[in-house]
Amino acid sequence: MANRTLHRLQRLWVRRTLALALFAGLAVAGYLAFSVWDRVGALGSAHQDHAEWVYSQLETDFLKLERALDDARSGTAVELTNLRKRFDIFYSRTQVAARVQGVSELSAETERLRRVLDAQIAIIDSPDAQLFSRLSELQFALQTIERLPRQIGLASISFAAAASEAEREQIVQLIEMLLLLALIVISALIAMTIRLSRQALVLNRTSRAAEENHLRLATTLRASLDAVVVVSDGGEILDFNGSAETIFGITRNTALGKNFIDLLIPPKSGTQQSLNLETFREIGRGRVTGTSRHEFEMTNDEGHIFPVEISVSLTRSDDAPVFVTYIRDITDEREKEEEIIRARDDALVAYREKSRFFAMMSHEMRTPLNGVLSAIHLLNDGRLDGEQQRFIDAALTSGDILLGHIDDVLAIERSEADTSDLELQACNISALAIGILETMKPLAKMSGTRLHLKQSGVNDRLILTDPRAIQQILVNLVSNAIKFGPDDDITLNVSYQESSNEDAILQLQVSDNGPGISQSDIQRIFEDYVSLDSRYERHTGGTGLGLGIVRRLVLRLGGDVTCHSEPSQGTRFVVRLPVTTIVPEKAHTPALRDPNPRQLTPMKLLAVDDNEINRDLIKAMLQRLGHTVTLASGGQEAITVATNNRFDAILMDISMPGVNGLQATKAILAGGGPNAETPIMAVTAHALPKEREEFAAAGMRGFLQKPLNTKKLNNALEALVLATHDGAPHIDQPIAKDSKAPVPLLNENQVSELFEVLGHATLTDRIATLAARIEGALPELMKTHETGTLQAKAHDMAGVSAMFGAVRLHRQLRDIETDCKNGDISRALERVKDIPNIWNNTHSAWHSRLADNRADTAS
Amino acid sequence: MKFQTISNTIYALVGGMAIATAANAGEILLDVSIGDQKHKYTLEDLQALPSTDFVTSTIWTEGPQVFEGVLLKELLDKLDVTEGEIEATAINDYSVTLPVSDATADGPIVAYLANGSLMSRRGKGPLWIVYPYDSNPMYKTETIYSRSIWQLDRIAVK
Repeated sequence: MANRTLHRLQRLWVRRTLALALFAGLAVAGYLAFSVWDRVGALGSAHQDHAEWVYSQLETDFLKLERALDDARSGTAVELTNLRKRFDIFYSRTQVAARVQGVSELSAETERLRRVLDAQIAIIDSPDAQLFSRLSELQFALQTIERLPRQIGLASISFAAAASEAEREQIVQLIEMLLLLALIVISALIAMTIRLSRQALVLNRTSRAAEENHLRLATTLRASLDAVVVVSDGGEILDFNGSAETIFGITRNTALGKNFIDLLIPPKSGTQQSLNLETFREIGRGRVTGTSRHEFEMTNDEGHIFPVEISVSLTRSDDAPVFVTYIRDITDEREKEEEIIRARDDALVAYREKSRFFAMMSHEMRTPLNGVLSAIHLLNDGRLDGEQQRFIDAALTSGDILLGHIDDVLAIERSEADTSDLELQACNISALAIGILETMKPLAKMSGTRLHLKQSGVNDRLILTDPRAIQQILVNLVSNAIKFGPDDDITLNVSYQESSNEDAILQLQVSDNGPGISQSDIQRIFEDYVSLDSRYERHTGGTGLGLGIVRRLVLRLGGDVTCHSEPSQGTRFVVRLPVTTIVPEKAHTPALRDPNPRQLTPMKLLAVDDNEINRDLIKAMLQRLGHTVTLASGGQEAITVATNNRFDAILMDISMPGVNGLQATKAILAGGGPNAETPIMAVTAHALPKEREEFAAAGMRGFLQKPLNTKKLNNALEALVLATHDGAPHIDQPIAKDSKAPVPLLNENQVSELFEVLGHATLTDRIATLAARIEGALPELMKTHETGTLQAKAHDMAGVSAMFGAVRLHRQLRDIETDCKNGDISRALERVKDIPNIWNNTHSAWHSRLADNRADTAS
Repeated sequence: MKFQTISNTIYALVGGMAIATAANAGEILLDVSIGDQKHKYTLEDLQALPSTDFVTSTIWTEGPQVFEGVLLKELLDKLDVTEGEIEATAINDYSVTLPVSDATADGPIVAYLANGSLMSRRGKGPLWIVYPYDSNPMYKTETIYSRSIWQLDRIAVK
């Protein structure tokens, strides 16, 4: 940039200097030419007569005059006339001589000559006689000047020589000037010629280069695979290459001069294009020009419309702008693209179908397997002989392995779901780890391995995570270690490390001192269906999905898993998960906290299942746990039974013909019957997270996956009881869903406390008083539309309801109070409308609680 | 300079006095011979011919002069001379040859009046072939000056 500017400045300077020189040269030449012309003009005209002649004639005429004087002495008239003539001639000659210019040295002599002659005029003009008598006088006068004509003549010679010399000098000078002028002109001409020839050379070269360039461009245009159409700003086609002919099916000659909109643009978008061109002409800037490519539709000679990719560049040739348009027919590309998208969609659909198929199949397999295993468990009551016991054990082991395989498939399905489906909840990792090791102990014992647990920084810390995933991860890692290392020591090391920010790292490390894994195998152990050891295959079998599941689950939790091992040096799996510690109130005890089944207070339970075997099994298991069980074979029957009897909990199968589990749950909870507050738990083999969300939405408070066993049932019921007592509404319910859960009518803890403190009779009395008070205040509350009054009444009633544990009523009244404070009267009034209904439900809940209590105390 | 002007005036006066002697009536001023033919012209004869005048400066005089006389062409036309040369001779026998082609309509005249006065023999008269020197640069050459013959008294057509 700076160089170009410098170059331009230099060229400008050179040009200016040249112009100045030319001007100066012209001025000099002009001046010279003028003076030469002037001099030539001066030379061209003679300014005087031949001086030599004049002066020599002067002497001649003088001599003739003298001779005429001598002749006149004869006294004849003729001679006297001749004397007069000669005098006149000499006189005239003297006049002429006096006129010869520049002879200043001679002017004195000619002057004297004339004076003498003038003096003689009187004698000459006198009559002949007088002239004759005065001839001597005349002669004397002439004698006084007789030397003058000669002197003048001689002097004039040197003068003439000087004059002619001066003239010659002048001519030489003139010629010199002419030569100089000629030289200047010739130099200028030569310089000009050189310059012109140089320019001509450059011009030639440039034009040849331009021509070559043009040829090359033209060849490129012709050879271009893209159609190239050159269009003027008026839309006229200026050029049309070979590819354009092929694409549009129009010959170049036909296309040239036509309007490209009429010829190449489909009628429906032609107007838009015309507008675009017009806009360009007006503002000088195009919408489609530039380097970027646009997709467009164009039409060929048959009116077939096809997709094109177009790129337009603007060239300002001469003065009018020209669009160079590169057009590529992308019909094939479009088709391929669509095909690929279709293929991808098909693949996705197929994948989803397969996924659904796996889920369905595992469910379908689990249901009968559930039956088989439960039946075997019931048979295994310790009253069998040795051989029978071995068969039973074999059947249980095989069933467990099969169940494990199905669980693996389900786990894979689960692990591939979105991370948004993560069920984060507070969990005590320490307890979880202890529980897992406890459950794995029998397996470890069988293969002669010893399990150890080490903890650092964990204690009873509550961590927000997905316990189910953690459980699965640990079970897979530990069971792998057990399978691979008979007679080994296996250590589960759980550590919790605070990090700089709020998040902390939970590290789960499972190490053994077994045979180890070779470096090359470490690369692939996390892949699906990889089984390293033939022993493993032979002895235990396996899907080879275990570590794949671990990897998926760890990824879902945002962590990483690594394996460190050297042959015969043992193996160490390290899982690092980012976790958040939470405050203890939000936690609930995980299902596996206590591996030893604890005897619960006997409960009154309703179990619903359409499968008769399952029904009987559940009943048997629950009865073994000491509970009272009522059975229902379908949704409708469950609703009927629930209307007439109050239960502590309901176990509800989901997929049932007729009224399904979800519908029945909604009906029971909404019916306002004795079980409106009863926790209902889903019992199903349906394991997909989305379905579990539906359960929660229907108001179910837990989820129990089939197949069932007594331990599982006990844990679930225990959790349910604990949750209800803690005021936590659900078990297995994601914390994120808490806000959606309906507030219970009564606080069970408070109710129990009231019973303990007041006793049944007093409490019955108090409740009646309370009911009377509220029912008395209610009509007024309903009528009130004034903010202040409404706020006061709601406040009063809220205080009373809180005292008697009417949580939902209390919450509603408090919300009304808040709305009044915020000035949102319309929202407050909207809430007031719900009060009678809530009160009625609360009242009936109290009644049923009083009735139950009386029955309990009675029994 | 002043002195020169005064002396010029004196010459003019003297010249004027000489007129009576220089141009006596009936005196033959010009002989024209065409072969054997002889034509003689007095001042009156010449004045009878159509006259032409012009103003010009000359190298023999000071300042612009008014000359009046007969066009040489007029004179020769009258004599049916249209080509060839003429030999003009002065009183002192100075003689020069002119081509007839010199005699054009705006060419030389045979002047008999200078500034309205007849020219005396003493004042380069009585006849003088004068070219209009100022009107044509071609007339400002030595050749033309040599042809401007004063004290003309004979013309011979060859």
